[in-house]
Amino acid sequence: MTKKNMDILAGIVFFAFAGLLFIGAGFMPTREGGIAALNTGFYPKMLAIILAFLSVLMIIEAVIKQYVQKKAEAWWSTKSAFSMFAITFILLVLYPFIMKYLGFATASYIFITSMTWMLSDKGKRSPLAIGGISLLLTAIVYIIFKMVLSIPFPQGILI
Amino acid sequence: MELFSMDLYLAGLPYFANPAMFLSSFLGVLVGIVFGALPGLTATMTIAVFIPFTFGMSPFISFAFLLGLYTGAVYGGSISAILINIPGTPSAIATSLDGYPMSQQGRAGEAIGISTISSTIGGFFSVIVLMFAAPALASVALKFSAEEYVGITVIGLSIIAIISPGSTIKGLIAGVLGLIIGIVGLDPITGYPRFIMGQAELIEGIDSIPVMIGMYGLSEMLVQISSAEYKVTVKQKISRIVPPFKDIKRIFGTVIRSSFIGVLIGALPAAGGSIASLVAYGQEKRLGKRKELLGTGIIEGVAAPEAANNASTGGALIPMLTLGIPGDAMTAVLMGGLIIQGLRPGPLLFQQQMPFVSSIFISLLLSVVFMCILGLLGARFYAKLIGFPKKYLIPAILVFGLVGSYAISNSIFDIWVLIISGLVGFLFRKIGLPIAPIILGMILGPIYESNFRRALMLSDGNWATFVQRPISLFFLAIVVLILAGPAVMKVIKKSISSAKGV
Repeated sequence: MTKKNMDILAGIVFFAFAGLLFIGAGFMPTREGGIAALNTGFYPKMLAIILAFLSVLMIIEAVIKQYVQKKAEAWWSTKSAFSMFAITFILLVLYPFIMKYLGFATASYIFITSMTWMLSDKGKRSPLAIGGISLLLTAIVYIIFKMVLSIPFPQGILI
Repeated sequence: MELFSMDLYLAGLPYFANPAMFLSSFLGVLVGIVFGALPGLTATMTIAVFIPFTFGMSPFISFAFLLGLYTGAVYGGSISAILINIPGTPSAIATSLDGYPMSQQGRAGEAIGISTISSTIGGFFSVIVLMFAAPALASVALKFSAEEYVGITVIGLSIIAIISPGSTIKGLIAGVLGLIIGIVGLDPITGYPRFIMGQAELIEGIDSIPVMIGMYGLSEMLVQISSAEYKVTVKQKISRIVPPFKDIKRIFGTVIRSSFIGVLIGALPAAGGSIASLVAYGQEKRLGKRKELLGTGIIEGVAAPEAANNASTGGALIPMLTLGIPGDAMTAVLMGGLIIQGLRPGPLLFQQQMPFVSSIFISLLLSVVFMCILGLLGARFYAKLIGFPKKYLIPAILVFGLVGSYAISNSIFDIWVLIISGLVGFLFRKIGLPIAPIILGMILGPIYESNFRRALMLSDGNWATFVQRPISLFFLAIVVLILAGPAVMKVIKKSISSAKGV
């Protein structure tokens, strides 16, 4: 996709979002008479109108502007970068669940080890180094949050 | 009440009888320098990620730590700018222009030394300006009413929109999106829940800290992973660090001039260290004695931006503390740290929490001292740390973010807020929408809304109230000037050049 088209698309998405916001604000209770600003829906509606106006400007700007760098920046530089991004995302989403059922130290250890493993160059993966340093980093997190700050984490099966 | 009493400077002193204050300031500076020096970890992100550490602490100790982080991180960015030509934090962009050439000539230690001395002088200068300007501004701000606050918030959002990279319109959109995040939760006037989608956690509104960690920390890590940027490591040798006296004498004029620029720009709502350092470098290019040598690796080229960016730290705290309007993204995050301690920045802070304000001054001063010592002693150590493998760093930062977000209110819901903010931030970075206005908009949202609606309420719904009060009118005129100024200048230049037939 070119940068121009991406900006136009983003403008359209923001405009649609503004529309949704406006409609959503319309469902909020209003009192007839009195000062409009006191109604709950007033301020969200105002922001929706401003956003809609700005997104139209953004679309116009994108149409008129001469783009120096035409091609949009690639979302992922390589295929493996994409898979790393995807795995990171999956690990992030899994984290709260693992934390809930197994405990936060375990969740942190699993997260750090798998991420480090993934980010290490193939062929240079030393299980001992990765496992050890991940354990050290997890211990630091544990000491700071659990022992120093005594944050009440969910009681998992493990720690 | 008299705001200019000596109490303002002394009331905080007794708190420093507690060695924990020194320890947290020291640790803050150390961690700040290390994180600031690591490429890809910005000062804003460092503060955001570490705010959860300060929950259990008293506001005094918490702020000694956070201000240390702030000072250290802004300074630390110069180390990687000098050694590997990658500014560790945006405010060190200009430092690499002369710092890196110096390092290539084998003068890395000298460059770091000059950077440390200039940052120290800039930092001291800014604390002193802060100590005198803040109470003066606070006593003026006491007279502000709702209309004026509306004006100042809009000024802040417009400035950040025009200085953010990319188009002004994108910056404004980002600012409005930030304001929209602020809508979620109970209506401050009617008490009706807005857009809470049946989630009890959202009644109080979206917590700003997970959003900040997500937008600055998580999304930055995602960008680095997605562009395979985590494999940069370079080693450099460091020679002598403490600069000779004749060098300090040589840069003295530059440092003083740049410190002035730094404080002034820092004090503008929303214009922070990166702009300050670029402007100071630009002025050095115009006025400096050795201006033609700039860019080849001369000490003035390191001194100017470094004095300016550290001078901007105290400057940026002025509007944050006195008006509750952050001077830049870093102070916006700091303000988040203040709010979770139950403190509302603004003129009333100076009246009601004088010892705390006083301790802020002293803490900032202390952090400049620690910065100087740690900068001169530890340069070799930080240089080694720059090579710390990102494959360990990225997961560690992510886990800090995850656990830290949870720790704010012991709720897994905040982890979801973090992950969603991180993804949205990643998306916005890719489409070129700046992040800083979103954060500023989110922080300013509640202040803006309640003042805006209060003003309309008190004036019986008369919108003219914003232009009928002289100060408010003046502020709105500034907004128009900021937003329309660049465009108008362009048109004028164009018409002049076409009139000349060029």
